[in-house]
Parts: sequence; structure tokens; C-alpha cells
Amino acid sequence: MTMPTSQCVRSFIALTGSLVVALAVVSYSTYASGPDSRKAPKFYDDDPLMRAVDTQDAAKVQPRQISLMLDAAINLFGRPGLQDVGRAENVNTIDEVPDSNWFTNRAGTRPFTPDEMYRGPSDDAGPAPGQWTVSRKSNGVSPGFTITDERNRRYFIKFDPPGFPELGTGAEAVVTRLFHALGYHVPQATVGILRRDNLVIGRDATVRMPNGGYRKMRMSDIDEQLRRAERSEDGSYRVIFAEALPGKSLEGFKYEGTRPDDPNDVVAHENRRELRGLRVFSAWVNHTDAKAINTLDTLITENGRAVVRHHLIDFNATLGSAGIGLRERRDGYEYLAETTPTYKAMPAFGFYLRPWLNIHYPTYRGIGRFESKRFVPEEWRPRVPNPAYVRSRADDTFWAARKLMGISDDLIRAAVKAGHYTDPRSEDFLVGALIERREKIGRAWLTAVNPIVDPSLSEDGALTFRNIAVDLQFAPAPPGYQVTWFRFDNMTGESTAIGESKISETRATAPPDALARVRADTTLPGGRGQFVRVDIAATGGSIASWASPVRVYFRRTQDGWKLVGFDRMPDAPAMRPGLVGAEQTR
Amino acid sequence: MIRLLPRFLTAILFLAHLQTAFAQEPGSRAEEQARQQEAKARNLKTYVSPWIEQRLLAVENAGGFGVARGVVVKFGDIKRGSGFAPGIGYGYTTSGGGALAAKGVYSIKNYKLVQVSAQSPHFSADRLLFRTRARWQDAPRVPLYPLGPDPPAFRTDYAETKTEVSGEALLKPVRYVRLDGGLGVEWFNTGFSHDENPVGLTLFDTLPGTGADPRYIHSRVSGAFDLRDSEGYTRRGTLLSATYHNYHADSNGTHSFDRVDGAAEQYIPILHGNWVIFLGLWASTTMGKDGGQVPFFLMPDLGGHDLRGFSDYRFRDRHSINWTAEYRWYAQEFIDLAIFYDAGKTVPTRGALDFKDLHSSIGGGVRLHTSISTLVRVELAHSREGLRFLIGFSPVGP
Repeated sequence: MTMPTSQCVRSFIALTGSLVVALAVVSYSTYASGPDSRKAPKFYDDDPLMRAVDTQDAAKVQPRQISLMLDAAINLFGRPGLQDVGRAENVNTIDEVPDSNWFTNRAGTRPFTPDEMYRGPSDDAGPAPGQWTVSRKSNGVSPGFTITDERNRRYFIKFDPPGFPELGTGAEAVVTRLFHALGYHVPQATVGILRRDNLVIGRDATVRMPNGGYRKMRMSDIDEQLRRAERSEDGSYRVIFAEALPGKSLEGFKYEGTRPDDPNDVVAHENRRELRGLRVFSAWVNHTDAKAINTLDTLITENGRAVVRHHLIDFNATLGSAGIGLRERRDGYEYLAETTPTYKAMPAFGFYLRPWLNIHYPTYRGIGRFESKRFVPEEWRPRVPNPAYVRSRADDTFWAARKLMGISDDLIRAAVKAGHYTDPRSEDFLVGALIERREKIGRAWLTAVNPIVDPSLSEDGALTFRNIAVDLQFAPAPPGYQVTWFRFDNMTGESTAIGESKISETRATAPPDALARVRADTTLPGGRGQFVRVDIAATGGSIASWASPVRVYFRRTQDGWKLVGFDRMPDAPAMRPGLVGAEQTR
Repeated sequence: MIRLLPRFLTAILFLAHLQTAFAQEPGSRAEEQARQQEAKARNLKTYVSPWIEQRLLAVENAGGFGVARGVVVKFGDIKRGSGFAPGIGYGYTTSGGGALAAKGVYSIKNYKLVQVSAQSPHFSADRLLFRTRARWQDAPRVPLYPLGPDPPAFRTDYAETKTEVSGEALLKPVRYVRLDGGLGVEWFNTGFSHDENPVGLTLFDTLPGTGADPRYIHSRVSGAFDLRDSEGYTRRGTLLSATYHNYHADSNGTHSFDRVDGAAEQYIPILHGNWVIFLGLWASTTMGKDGGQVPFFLMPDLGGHDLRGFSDYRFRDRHSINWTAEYRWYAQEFIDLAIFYDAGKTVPTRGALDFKDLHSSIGGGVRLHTSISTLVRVELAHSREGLRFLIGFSPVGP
């Protein structure tokens, strides 16, 4: 069947006209129904998410080397990354960090025993006795080798700097365990003994030459490395055996931006809670060297899919160690280049005395320049500004400080024991210093923002919560709390006040019939259940920030009221990257 | 119109369905996150290092800026007084760890330098090293003042060209001891710079060594006891060193001579280096052989780098002594400030080598440094001859 040309044209015009008019009608209807009708619900049924899954195959991610010098220069003299600082973007709806390839909640979230702490990230206890085949040597400032034992397991060997026995190896073993317990992915590190005659050079072992070429490794190369290490009287070397991580090495990650070739890396690193919170943990153990080249991404297979796992590595420059010797007195107190103290010092003929100049450090074997008496958590800083640290808000540091409270005295003692310090006084001192620094961190950062935790709403309307700063005796209890109740529309985000109460305990009761009305309310669209919002603020206390309420959301479920939302700083002002943490935008 | 209604309704349904399909909100948080990852997966980019990062990585992978590699920009290392002297160099490190280098430098005062050099690998656990170089240097206007302990401030200039082929061995038998010895051939050509000053010409003509243009076999040995953290920058330590030179003029024996240079330096850190007191004493003496004369251009001199309130080569004679006291303070990790006092003199006889009648200068400045090297010193110094602004690229001292 054929159609005359003129009829074809008329039909085409008619169809096109219909589409245009229909488009206009659909667009108007969308517009007229208002923006809220297209808005996602605040809470989904699976909130709060406890695990963030990498859904895309990352097999095409390529290794990328990061320049130490450029990274340091950019961070010393600029603030790379996003300039508006908001809430961390990878937290779930109850303000916690879900498990992921960045972080796994351990101590403080689940039972974590001293045995687990002592054991570390894996069961590996170092290379099997026998001959160890050297395949590579370190090209860095610190000496080191890569070896393979007779079970074909690969390890990186690190030494103590000459003149400082147990300094770097002890720090690496202890801090590896602490960071593992806190939730980071770290390689297993075990203190052990190396003798020169353990080592044989691998058939394919090569040495990278300054001209970029390679030559076959010689025993003199091994000796050259050993000369730069602390040697025991019996000729052996105390070392760290760092277990090689599984998967393909992709080099480190930067603390700002995302990996452009990793499909699962969708949150800017400077906005990741566990990286912002790392400021707190780094302050605790004086990890002043948390920079991009001390991280390692590996390509692993998970659920049949190639994904990237993100690790922190190299902890031999923590506590009182700089890896190559004692840490600088400035470390932890001042950036490598910081303008304000420089301007003050220049015209002062040396009489502008930095507070860190006269700190007394103990002389215990293996401890180095580490102490707790003069430690001020909020003022602590790494050698070079870290893009995530300078964006850390009070809710980020609170989260980390609370995690840190999960590291009990016994856990600290177990971690320090893994440092195998030969002088018991060293062990005691380090345990004591870490405990005292932990307490200072709690006092500083658990009190800096409204410290309400663990809210719970019972079937009968009884609201309970804890004030963790008070419970841990970091601050006196406020005279009371103000609790404000709202009915919450999950689809529009609108809250309607339904009552308030002033209480003196950490327990309140919902206004009479209020919850029953919420439960009975079937007018809320979406059929996603009923929600209440509760704002809790301290009243009359001496800490001003506690008067800003935390915002808590409960969803009605078959089992009762379930906590689905928590925002510690719902009314946070606009912020920007600051000198050491986020600062309010002027 | 009625006929078009079904089409119109069909179109509405079609578009509404499309809109729903594309704009539908995720049904769960997990789905929302998966969608973000899917969206990124459709727009992956390969990371490309910026040019500057590639260059810095090349430096870092090779072992730092001190390792010879490829074409590089060079500054200085030309005769003192040259002024700002940029140049270009090329370095190549052999697979055995040795290095070959070549460079050319040209200064704003028309000084020129061309040099090729080679360095052996480090032997015996970094204890032994050999170096050799061939070097040509042209300095067309070197300041020249009359000799003596207190010469008038009359300045003229002379031209000096030096060609050198030499080698040296550096030995570090134990941690704090350095020994080195060198042997080379050096050709000197000097002449009066072409200004029209007859007084200057007279001065030039009367100086020892004028017109001799000797060729020297220059041998030297030196030893140092060095407790400093680094030769290039330190806040503590001691240096005691002595160098013996023998200049044997094979073309004209009347200009053969010996020279001995001594240095004693002490860095005293106070409050962990917040303050550093630096005391330095240097002396040089020459001895003509068999009645021979020391040519003026190889005599010890003071001014500029050591007696900082005076211009370069302001004092010159057969012997010299000078000392410096410096008070340095920490501004930040890479910046020190300092005030200093320098004093010294040159004298015709060794017997006059004492601490009397020294010329002095005072000043202050700022230093940019790393933990092992002084990158730049910017100083202002004052003497009876006025104020001088100095820029240096090495620690204080001869």
C-alpha cells in the first residue's frame, strides 16, 4: 500500500504536532505538581546502610605514581580539593561509616579482644625460617628489601635507624595494630630477626640504577642496605616483616579528589569521614607522615568483581620515630612551612619561643620523641597539611574520638606488647602515654559538639540516650535537656512539631498520644512507614555547643521504633578548609 | 481534530512512560549508590600526570636532584664576582653508578664557563670516590685593588682566563674524617681590562705575576675533621680542616709557590637549634719557592663572601686571616635569619698574621635552606666603605 506524498507530509505534521503538545502537557503536569513530588525520600527502607558495596568492575584501573615533592608543595602552599566543607559524604543516615573497601568497623563496634589486637591484621607471623630470597631493595631514604620465603610468601623488610634500636620497628608494629583495630585496611607487620645469612639473592633480582636502568643485584647491594640499619651486638638485625598485600598494586591514593578510572570511587576523598577522622587517630599516635605516598591501593577480586581496596601503610614514622631517626621536635606542632609562627619568629631575634622547643622526652629505649603531657589534640598537625584533615568538622572528629574510646587500656597494652620492646619501662611508658593522649582526645573532641549518642525509642514512647562526654567523665552533666518531638514526612522532608519536654535525665517520654497519632496517620504519601524526628539539646550547661540539638529520626517498623537517622550538626554553618580543621566561612 | 485525539493520548502515555523510566528515584540507598557508580563507570578517565609531576617523578625515581640526568638548568660555580650566572647542563649516570656531566654558564657580567666532568661510582661502602674535570673559565672584569693590609679604595679590573684539567680522590676512612688529594694542570692568562684608566694600568703592571701567564702543575692534599651534620647546612658541629697546595710553574719557575689554607668552624646550638652561634676562623698563607713570587691572582683575598661589608677581592696579599661570629635564629624549617660580625685582613708577611688592625663589617640576612644545603643567602652588610647587598648560594666562609 502506498500513500500520496501530500498525505505523508500531513500525517508527519500531525504526529509531530501531537508529540509537541503532549510534551508540553507532560512538562506542565510535572511542573505543576511541584518539586517535592520528584524529591527522593530522606530515608529508604534499607537505611541505615551498614556496608557500602562496590558495584562496578574496576579491572581497568591503572597504577599511578604520586610525586612526593609535588604533593607536599601543593598541600603546603594551597588547599587542593573542594572548597565548601559540608557533612562527610560517605556516612550513612545515622552518621556512621559503613564498612567498605576503605574502612571496616572493628573495635568499639563489635567485641574486639586483646588477643585479636596482639595478632594484628592477619594470622601471619612473619616469614618461615630458612632462606629468604631477596627480589628488590628499597630506593628510598630508609633501607629495606622485598623477600620471599620458602612458602612463597612475600614480605617487605624494614629496619631500625642506626643508633636507635627498636624505634622504627616498635612504632610500626604497634601502630599497625591500632589502626587495624580502628578500622583501616593495613598490612600485617611483625617484629622479627634477620641475619645476613638468611638472605640469598633471587635469580631475577635487579637493582634500579639512578639512570633508570636496572642491573643484577649483588651481595654488596644487600650490605649497603644493612650498613644503614641498626645492628645488634650478635650481628643480627631487628626488623619489621610487613606482609605483602594481596592483589595488584595501584600505588597510593590522594587525600583529595577521586581516582578518575575507578568507577566505584564516587566520594571525594577529602569528604570521606574515615579520612577526615584520621586526623584524630594520627594525632593520637603522632602519625605526622600521613601523606599520599604512605597509602596503597590494590586491585582485588571481591564477589567475582575487580575492585580497589584502599590501605594505609608505613607506620615506622609514628610515635617518637621519624623512620630514619628521632622525629623532629616540630613534628606534630607545626607544619613544615607555616606562615604565622614564621612571621612572629623572623623579627624576634629568636626570642619567639615555640612551645615545642622545651618539651622533655623520655629516654627509654625505642620510644624516641613521644610524650603525652604537652599534647594538645586540637592543635596537633602533620608535617604537611592533609586535604581531609583540614576539612574535618566537629562531627568528624567526634566520630573518630568515639571510635578511639573503643580502644580500651587492655587493647592498648596488647598492641604495645606486639612492639616487643626489650625494656619493660618502654612498654609501660608507651601504654601510659597512649592512654593519656586518648583521654585528652576524648576531653577535646567528645565535648566539642553535642555528645548525644545511642538514642533509642521504645514501644511505649520512652526515649533514652547517652551523653558520652558525661558518661566518660570528660565533662560535667548539663542541668538538663530539651527534647522536641516532630512528626516527619519522609517524602517531603517536612517536620511538624508535636510536643516538647524539658528533662534532667537522659530519658524522656513522648507527648501523650503523639506517637499513637503518628502511627495512626495514614495520610503520609509513599507508604514508607511513619517517622518521628526528635531534637535533643542540652540546656543550661557551660558548653555552648551542646545547646545545638542533634537531630534523631525513628521509623516505625513491625518491631517497634528503629533509629534510621542521626545528624550531629544539622544546623552547621557554611565552612571552608582551615589551618588544621574546617573553619567557619566568614 | 477528533481523528488526532488517539494519537495525542498515545503520545502523552509514551512520554509519561519515558519520563517515569528515566526519572524514577532509586528504591533503596544501595541502589542510589550503585547508580552513582554506574554513572561514573560510563565516564571513566585515565589519570594523566601533569607535566610538572612527570618531571618531579623522574627526579624522585632517580634519587633526587643531586643525581645527574638529562638536560638541566645550572647556576653559578663560576669565578666569584660573576654576578647572576645561569647556564645549561647535561648529566648522565652510568649503570655502574658513575656520572658524566657537561655544562656551560654565562653570567650577566660576561663571565663564561665550560666544563666537562666525570665521577666514579662510590667505592668501599661510600668511602672512596674519584672525580676528574676539564674546565675553561673566562672572567673579563675581575676587581683589582692594590695589595697590602690597608690599601686605598682604588679599583680597577683585570681579565683572567683559566683552563684546567684535573683529577681528585676523596676518601672518608671513618665517619668524621675526610681526606682528599688532587692533581691537575692549570693555565692562567691575565691581562688588563680595557678601561682607559692609566693609574689602573700602572697598578696592574706592578703586581707580581703580571704577564707571566704561568702553567701550573697544581697538586694538593687536605684533611678535615668534620662533625657537622652536613657540609651544605648545619646547626651544630665542628670543622677543622687544612689544605696544602703546591703550585709548580713548569713554564716559568719563578712563580712556583706553596699555599696552606686552614679553617676552624664551630656551630653551637642553643635550645635545640632555635639559636645557633657560629664562630669561624680562616687563615691562608703562601710561600714562594726558591725566591719565586706568588702571582697576585692566586694570592689569598678577602671581601664579598667572607668580609661581607667590603666588595669582592677588596683585600689581597700573600697571607690572610679572618673570622666571623654569627648569631642565627630559627624562623621556620627552611628559613633562618642571622646577624653577623666579620673581621679580617691580608698582610705581606706571615709575622703580621694576627688579630690586630682587622677590617670589620656587620650585617644581617635571611637564609633559605634544606636540611643539608643552603639554597640562598640574602644579606645586607655594612663596613666603613658603605652598605652592600649580597646574594650567596653556599654557607658562610671562603
